[in-house]
Amino acid sequence: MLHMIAADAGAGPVDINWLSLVTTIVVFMLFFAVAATMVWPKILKGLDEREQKIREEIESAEAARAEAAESLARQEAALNEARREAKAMREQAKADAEAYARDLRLQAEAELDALRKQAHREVDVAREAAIKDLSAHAAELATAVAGRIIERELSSADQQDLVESSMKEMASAPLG
Amino acid sequence: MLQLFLAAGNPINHVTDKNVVALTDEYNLTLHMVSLVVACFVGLFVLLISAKAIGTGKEDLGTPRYLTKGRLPQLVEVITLYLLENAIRPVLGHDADKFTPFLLSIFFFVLTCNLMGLIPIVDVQHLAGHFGMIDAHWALVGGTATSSLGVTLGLALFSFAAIQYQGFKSLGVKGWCHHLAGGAPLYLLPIMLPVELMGMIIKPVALAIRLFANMLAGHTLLAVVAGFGVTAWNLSTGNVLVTGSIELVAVVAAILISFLELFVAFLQAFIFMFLTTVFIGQMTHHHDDHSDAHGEEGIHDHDGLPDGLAKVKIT
Repeated sequence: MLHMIAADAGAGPVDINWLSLVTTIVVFMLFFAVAATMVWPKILKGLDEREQKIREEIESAEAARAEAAESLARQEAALNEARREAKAMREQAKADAEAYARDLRLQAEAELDALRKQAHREVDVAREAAIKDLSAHAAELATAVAGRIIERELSSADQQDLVESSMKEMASAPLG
Repeated sequence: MLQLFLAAGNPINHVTDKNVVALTDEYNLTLHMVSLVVACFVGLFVLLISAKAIGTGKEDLGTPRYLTKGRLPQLVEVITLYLLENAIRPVLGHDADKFTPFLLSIFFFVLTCNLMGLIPIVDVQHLAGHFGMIDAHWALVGGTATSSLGVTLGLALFSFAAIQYQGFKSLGVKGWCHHLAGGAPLYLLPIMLPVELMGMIIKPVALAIRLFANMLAGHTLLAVVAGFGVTAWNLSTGNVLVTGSIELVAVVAAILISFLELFVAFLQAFIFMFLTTVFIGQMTHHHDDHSDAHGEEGIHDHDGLPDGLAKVKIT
């Protein structure tokens, strides 16, 4: 069957069918005319616009990345500055506390020293008073003892002389 | 029934053009002519759909308006981008924009014709005829139009026109004549002129013959291999194992060759377009400082390829 169909063409594979050639020219001209006006301008424009869009997006992303890096650097610098200030404040507070403690200690020591001196003074006064009382009492006691020993009464002038002489002796004598 | 699909007697008959209807006593409308028209409309239909999908959409769509939706438009886009970035722009440089629509058109037209040849449209019509739906001897459309020398020569004429247009446009009449003389001394002109004139014509003719021969050979090979199965069937050896084995090998080989043909369909379309691009590039005046074998600044020598593909040789 195909032999019959093939025979219709009446040409070998390398024979040129001129009508085919003309048909090709006409058909391709039609194809090219439509494609050149309605297809390729649209496709090439679309591809160019996409390429442009991608390029813009890449540039925008790079700019955003650079801005983010710059912002990060700024924040890190601010953070470092804050840390440095905090450290300075901490050291200042520590120094202030130490100074305050030292002042308190000095003040306490001064007050203590004043109290100690006051106490010493009061002790000295009390000792002198006690010595005086003891001297008087000892004189009276010695007089009474001496009067009983010598069994005579002394006049007031004698007694006064005896007391004064005894006092001088007691004052010159070392305390036991 | 397989005989309906294959011309077992002479595989060439399967791929040669067939008459559809007689126009005059001398001229007939043939299968390849109808296929050309169908390929034209199919190709335009696919490209128009792709153009709509690839083109940037409305602004209210946002970023997705830049995306191409659909597999076919994406395929067209990938092919277009590949051809632009790897063949047309590297070869033609600043002149690429001028020739891009023509080169892409010729690629997709040849590709559509080649691919249509892989679809057994004629065989389906013969099958319909076998069941009495139409005349079993007749088919309206089908076959590989590019396996016809008339068709490929017609396409090569456009390549020739584009090459010469670029020659006159870029080199000027004087430069074109100088190019035609091959840069040889005047006393060699009687030799050089015919050689260059022949070269000028042989280039597009070679394009036509290359495409025609490859498409014809591929389909003939497919018919021959598939014909083995038909022959084994017809011989009726009585040995099912032998006949079955031959049938199996023939079918597997035919399937594998069909894949090869699919590749060849793309390859030959690319080669036709690419060589046209290279020939156009050879006629381009380059405003750079290097000189060529012609001794004139900026005109390509006959053996060398333009800038981007200086090391690529097409044989």
